[in-house]
Amino acid sequence: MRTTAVDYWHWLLVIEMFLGGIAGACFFAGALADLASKGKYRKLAKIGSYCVLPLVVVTLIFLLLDLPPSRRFYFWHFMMIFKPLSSMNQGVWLLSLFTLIGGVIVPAIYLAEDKGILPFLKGKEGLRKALSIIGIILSVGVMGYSGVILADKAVPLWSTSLFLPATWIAVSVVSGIALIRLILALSAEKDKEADSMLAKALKLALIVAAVAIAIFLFTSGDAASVLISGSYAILFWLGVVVIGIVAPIVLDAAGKDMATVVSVLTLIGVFLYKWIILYGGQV
Amino acid sequence: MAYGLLIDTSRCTGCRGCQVACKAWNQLPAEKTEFTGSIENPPANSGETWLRVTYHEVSNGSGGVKWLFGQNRCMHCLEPSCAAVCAAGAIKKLDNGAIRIDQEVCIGCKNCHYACPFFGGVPRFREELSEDENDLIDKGLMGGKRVTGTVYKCWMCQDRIENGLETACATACSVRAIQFGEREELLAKAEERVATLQVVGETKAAVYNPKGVGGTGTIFILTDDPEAYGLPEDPQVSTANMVTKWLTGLITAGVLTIVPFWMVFKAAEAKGKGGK
Repeated sequence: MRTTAVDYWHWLLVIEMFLGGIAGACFFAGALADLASKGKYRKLAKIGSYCVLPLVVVTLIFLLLDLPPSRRFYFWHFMMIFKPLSSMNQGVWLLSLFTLIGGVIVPAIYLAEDKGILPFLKGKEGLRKALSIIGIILSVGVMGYSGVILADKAVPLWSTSLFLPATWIAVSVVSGIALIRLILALSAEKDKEADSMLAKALKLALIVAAVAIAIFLFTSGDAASVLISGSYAILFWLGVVVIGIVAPIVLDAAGKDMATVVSVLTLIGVFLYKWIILYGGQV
Repeated sequence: MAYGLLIDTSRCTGCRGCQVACKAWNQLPAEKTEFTGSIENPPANSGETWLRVTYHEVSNGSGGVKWLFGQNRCMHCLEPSCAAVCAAGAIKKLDNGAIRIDQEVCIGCKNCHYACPFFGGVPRFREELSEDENDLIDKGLMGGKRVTGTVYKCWMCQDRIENGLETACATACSVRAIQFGEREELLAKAEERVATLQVVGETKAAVYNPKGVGGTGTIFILTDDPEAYGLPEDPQVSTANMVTKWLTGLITAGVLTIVPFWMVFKAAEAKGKGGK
């Protein structure tokens, strides 16, 4: 237990980890759907990749706000060094490279197709596929690094188990699928078939996340008690388990057209999970 | 040559001379504190308080109470977690054994605070500097760099060491409970002292130089369990399992997420073809 806890890291970091995770995950989910279906769900890859840059920009704004005012604009110090064994430095480079590929170049290829801008990129299918695969790999890094930043600390809840980054990637994937589904549900042209595919993928991702969280809790020893029965137990059981995992699966299984509600509930669950891990570690 | 500090708690009288000397030499402002039921004050280390004497009441084994005096301060680990995680490269282990934060490179992210396995995180953040400090900086009289919005901790009085002096705390200690010197020599001294303490009945006397962090530059002589002094029994370098943690994460994403995800959409593609 940390004897003299000071909440240096707080809700701003939760927002950064949440949005950064979605940025990686929506590219991941969209590009995978497109590649696996051999282009049938290209639309999902477009939605996913268009989301990356705005999400990264918002994440960076929160990151700047999170730094002390006097040091805010020295953030480039992070980029003056390549330190592969510092998880925060890994994150800087993973996010930079991912944003360049998944947030700028790949969306530019789609924009060339949709809007006719940058026509020299139009029809570069080989390039698009190659970059999509690289982007998927980088996106996993982007989803994972903030979990590793927590996991390599001297904070029992974050570091006892080897599986915190695993849960981080798993819940981020959930949030990415949920965001694409939400955008699809809110867009003018409904696509029932794509939604049902996303619903299947979401259910699978939720099960993976639930298993990862269970393994994480089992391997955390006493440190997990703050989530299971301690001061964050209500948020965990009600917020993460019921609202974020069980309710979305049940509602989708009920067969009603609940894409919007399910997506929102899932996103709330993922946000709360990252929230209780950050704060629960500092009790 | 690697220097170190030897803290002999069996000699300490809890006078806090070291705590005051640290404040005075390093021009650190006083903190407004409250009485918290202990003469330990202020209640926690901070960006303004780099060294603090701690007071622990424990059973003396025969129905009474004995007082143990400890210290909260940077341990100057041989394998420092703070330096390992610093993403700006601001924290370095110097050749003379000290772990030093370069205030002009630090951007105040507090990553090091959470990585440190000692005393709830030794490096602590400072929102602003005092008028006196700014005055000294303006006059060019401040030893070392000082920047607002960065993280601070004991720097083993580099300005004194560079000029052939001992650290302020060691100089101030009137009972030689804090000794500054070459680390290897201090370790030998510590072993000798522990042997003496054992003979005079301090059966729990031991050297605290935990291996999990590669050993420490700040070596303690304890007369009770480390926990009794607020020291972790077996601290570890916080980044020790970082690669494994990445791997478990990547395996989860790879096997548990990509494969079923791929199959869902692959099936869709097959179905789509079949329908045509």
